[in-house]
Amino acid sequence: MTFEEKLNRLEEIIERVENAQTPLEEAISLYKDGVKIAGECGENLRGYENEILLLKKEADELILESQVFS
Amino acid sequence: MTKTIFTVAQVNRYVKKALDTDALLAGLFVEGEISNFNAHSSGHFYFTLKDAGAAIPAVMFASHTEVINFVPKSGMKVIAFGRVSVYEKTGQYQLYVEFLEPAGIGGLQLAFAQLKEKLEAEGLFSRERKREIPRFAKTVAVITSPTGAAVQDILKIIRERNRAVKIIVAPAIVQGEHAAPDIVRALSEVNSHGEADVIILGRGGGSVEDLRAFNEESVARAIGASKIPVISAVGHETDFTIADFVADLRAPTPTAAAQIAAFDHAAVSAHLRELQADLMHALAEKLRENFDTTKFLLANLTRAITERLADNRKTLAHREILLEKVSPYAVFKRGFALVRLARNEENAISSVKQLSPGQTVKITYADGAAIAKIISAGEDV
Repeated sequence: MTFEEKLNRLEEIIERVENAQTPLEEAISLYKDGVKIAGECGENLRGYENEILLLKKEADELILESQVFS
Repeated sequence: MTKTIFTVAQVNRYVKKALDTDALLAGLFVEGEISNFNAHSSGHFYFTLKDAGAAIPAVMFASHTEVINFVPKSGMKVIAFGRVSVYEKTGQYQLYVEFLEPAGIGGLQLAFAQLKEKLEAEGLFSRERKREIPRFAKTVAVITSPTGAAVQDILKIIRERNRAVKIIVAPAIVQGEHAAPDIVRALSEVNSHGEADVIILGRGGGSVEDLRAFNEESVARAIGASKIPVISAVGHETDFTIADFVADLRAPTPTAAAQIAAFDHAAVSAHLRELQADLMHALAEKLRENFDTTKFLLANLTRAITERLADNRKTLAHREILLEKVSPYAVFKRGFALVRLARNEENAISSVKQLSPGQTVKITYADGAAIAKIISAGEDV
């Protein structure tokens, strides 16, 4: 699942948990899935954050380097 | 005295000889208006030079017509240089023109106007032909005099802006009769060398005559044929040459050309840093938004399940109450008891009609039972 798909899935899960037609056992099982997916989303975001910080550091170094060159 | 009789040819030859040996007629300037102009396919021009009351036939051979830089027309006032001689076949004397120049406005000016008109008509100046000047040229070729001030200005400006740009100086004669072919050669060399991303072609200021090479057709065509974009930088801001019209971009001065050809490293670096900061900001914002969304969804999910549990708890409590209400124990509490026949405890007695005097019944309470005998039973006991 892509990040957006995960978010969409979470919304869907919420709707189904809210829906009184959904049996309670199923709602609990859906809740467990939802918490897991939300955790994955958080993990993904932290991963992206680290990746960006690393790339920024590399870009900063490149720009500084070219300044030395000029 | 004997009568001498000459042949026609002899007369013509005699007159021709007389004219050809005349010092003045051997080379003179004649001003007049062209009429009956005829450019023969052989390259020769035939026309009549006339003024208010006189006319003289004129011929200009291809070897001479090639070098004039304007196209003569009937009605044009010209100054012709040539000699006067006789065409023996017709006995007609005529002007053998070697050089022709428009009278009145300067010859260079007319040549400029005519060449401009011609190349414009060919589409050589059209906007669609112009190639874009690269914003980040790695190599700049400079075609100019190696000894002029222009090359120094250009080198200085490029170095100030960007020390990484490679500069190829292609020396060329930019003034005098050898200038045009030399500029054409330099353009062709820079093109076949191929490394340059852009060419600066120029020279410093000078008289119209000094800038003449940049008004030559050969130079204009070489610029048009260049595969590498050409920036022209000829003379001062007010000087316009044919080269400027053909070039992909006209810079007002050599200094300006250098500024266009070489990007400003410091400015570009600063801009790059700005862009990077913007990018970081945008990404950070996006990440933050997604964090928020995830948090919001998780909170919603927890709220939803909590609500579901609370609803179920409520339902349960409700059912418990109902259950309590229907429980026989609740009935016992209110003073009712379960009455069954002592010999048959299967069925509870639910109507007085099931009872008759003498029967033994078991009366059951929540905390025990009693055995009793029916003394009387009926609707109005």
